[in-house]
Amino acid sequence: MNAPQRGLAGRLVVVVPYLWLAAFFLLPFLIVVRISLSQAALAQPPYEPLLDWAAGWEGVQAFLSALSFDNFTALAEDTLYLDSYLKSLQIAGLSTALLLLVGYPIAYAMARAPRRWQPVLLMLIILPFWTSLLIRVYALMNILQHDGLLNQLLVALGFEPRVWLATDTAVYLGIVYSYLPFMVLPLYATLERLDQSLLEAAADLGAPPWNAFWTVTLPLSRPGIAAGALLCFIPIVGEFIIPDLLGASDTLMIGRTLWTEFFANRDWPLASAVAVLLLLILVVPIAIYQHVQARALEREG
Amino acid sequence: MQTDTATRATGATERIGSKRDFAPWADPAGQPLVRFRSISKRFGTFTALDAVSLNIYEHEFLALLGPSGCGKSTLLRILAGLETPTEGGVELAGTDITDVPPYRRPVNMMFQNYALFPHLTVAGNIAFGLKQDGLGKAEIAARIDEMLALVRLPHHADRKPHQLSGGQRQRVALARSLAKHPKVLLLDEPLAALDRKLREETRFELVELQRRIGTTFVMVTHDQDEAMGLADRIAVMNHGRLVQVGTPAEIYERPASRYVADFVGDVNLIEGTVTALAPAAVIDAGSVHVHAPTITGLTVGQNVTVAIRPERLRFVDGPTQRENILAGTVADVAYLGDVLLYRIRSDDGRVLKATMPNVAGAARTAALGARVHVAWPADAAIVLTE
Repeated sequence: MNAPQRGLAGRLVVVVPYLWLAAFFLLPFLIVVRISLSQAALAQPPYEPLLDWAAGWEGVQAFLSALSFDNFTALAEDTLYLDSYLKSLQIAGLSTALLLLVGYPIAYAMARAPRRWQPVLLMLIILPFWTSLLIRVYALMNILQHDGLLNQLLVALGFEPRVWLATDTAVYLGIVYSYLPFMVLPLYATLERLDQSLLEAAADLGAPPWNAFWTVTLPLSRPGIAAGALLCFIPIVGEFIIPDLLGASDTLMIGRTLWTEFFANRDWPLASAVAVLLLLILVVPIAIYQHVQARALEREG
Repeated sequence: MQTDTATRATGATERIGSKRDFAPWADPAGQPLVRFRSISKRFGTFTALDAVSLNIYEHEFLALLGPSGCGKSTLLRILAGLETPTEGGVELAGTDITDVPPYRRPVNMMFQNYALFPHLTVAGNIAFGLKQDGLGKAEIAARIDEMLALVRLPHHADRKPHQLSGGQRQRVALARSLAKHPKVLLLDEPLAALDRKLREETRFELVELQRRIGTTFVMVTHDQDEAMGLADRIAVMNHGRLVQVGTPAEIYERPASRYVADFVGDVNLIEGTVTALAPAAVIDAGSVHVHAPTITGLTVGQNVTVAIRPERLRFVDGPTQRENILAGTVADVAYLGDVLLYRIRSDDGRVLKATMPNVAGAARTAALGARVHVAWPADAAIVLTE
């Protein structure tokens, strides 16, 4: 496809988002990379080397030679970090699968609901955003604590009370609850646009409803599944608040490790290295997502 | 009105202008393939279909013709099983299929926007229905080849629908809906999405295909040319009712009502009172006395409408006759290439449409503003009581 001819104003419009990304994403990221190559120091800022502009070219050379990959080697040597990454990926993967299982039927029901009800249902999905995430997680803590609502209900129903808080179950519960709108909204957007005549055609060609779902609805909602899954998976990998408040102290997710390195140990370079590695890990699913998106666009012509 | 329609549909003793020697509807002992039994369909307070009864015969090409909202698509969807009638029933080959879900009916539909599966290739689309039937791989592959050859798209099996032109998509949709060898093929505005030139080619191909494979076709269209050009019989619908069922020639030359006369083709309508019945019906329309073939049930003093097709009018030199002639001036001439379309304002204020073939010396032509007399033969006038 040939790019249409653009005037100066048109070209400027294209440049603006790139400038934005350069100023607020690329530049900070380069600073983080630079810190990740430094060593921790009891100083202000708490790392060295610092670039000495007054020393001129020799200063730059000294600065460059003092940079090292030591922090990345440290990450590889201590299994704590590897475990944190794996735990994060595991929690994010399982949570995303759970979110898909819970979110798909919700989105499907919304898309199939009478037209006049759909704005209301959409509103209800977005409604939790009106309360701060922190408050909602605290509310969950309240529900899950030993004499909380959940155990009161269990006891009332004749069951033994259980330990909920500070378990992986609580983390999954908190994540699925908090991220559900991010899964439901893209799925709903895809399912709502699904051409109903395709399902009629499937039925006409002999497919009972269940078959039509597997052979038509599900394949055609793949872009929505991909968007929802990545929209959830990526932030869940770096999630900090939910595992910190609901999880056990040994639930070492990478967000928590990073927080500890940064604020408790004041090891900015190591924390930066953790962050850089996390970003590299996340680039893979983002690239997959982009690929899927491009394919979907191509299919729609 | 319903019984009247039925007589016209099945009891016509002398048939006119049938396209081929094929008229199972004229055989009183003939068994229809599809029988709509007094179908009504209501959506809330809106009545989409009102007690529609219609028989469709094997190998027939039937067109449901009417303006949008007349219920023709609803009738088609009821046959496909995509809608259920509020009252009445549908029979297919003698079996009641009213409550059979669409996926168990031996009937397939070509959808108006084709409804091709965008995530499947052409072959995948055609194979979709065959897989549902559990056919073997080799059999499916053979059927795909057969269907692609039938619609003349042999080298497009691996394309996706978005890689095809509109005309190719239409062929794939046709191939997909024929792949299961349905007892009846339903076509919802099959040519509407094609441009004019392609539409005419495809129309011809569709008739030719139907004659070759012999499948019963039921088509929905709002385009009278399409219905006339394709169908063995046309069922004209209006406001959820069947208005007339007949061959294209019957519909055009013997319309049952003002509505049909006006909807199918161009027509001049003249209102008047019956003054005589024999030997010909005479209708007093003020400044003109129209003589027309009489019809049964006509009484003297009855108010009727006379329909005259524009191509039956001709210019004559002066008042050569006393009946079936009007004097006026040419108010407009449109040059349409093959014909000239005149609008003539008669002295008593009527506007008549007249078409004259555009061939040298064949007809008198008249200039804008000229004084003319237009006349028509007595058999050109059709008396309409509805």
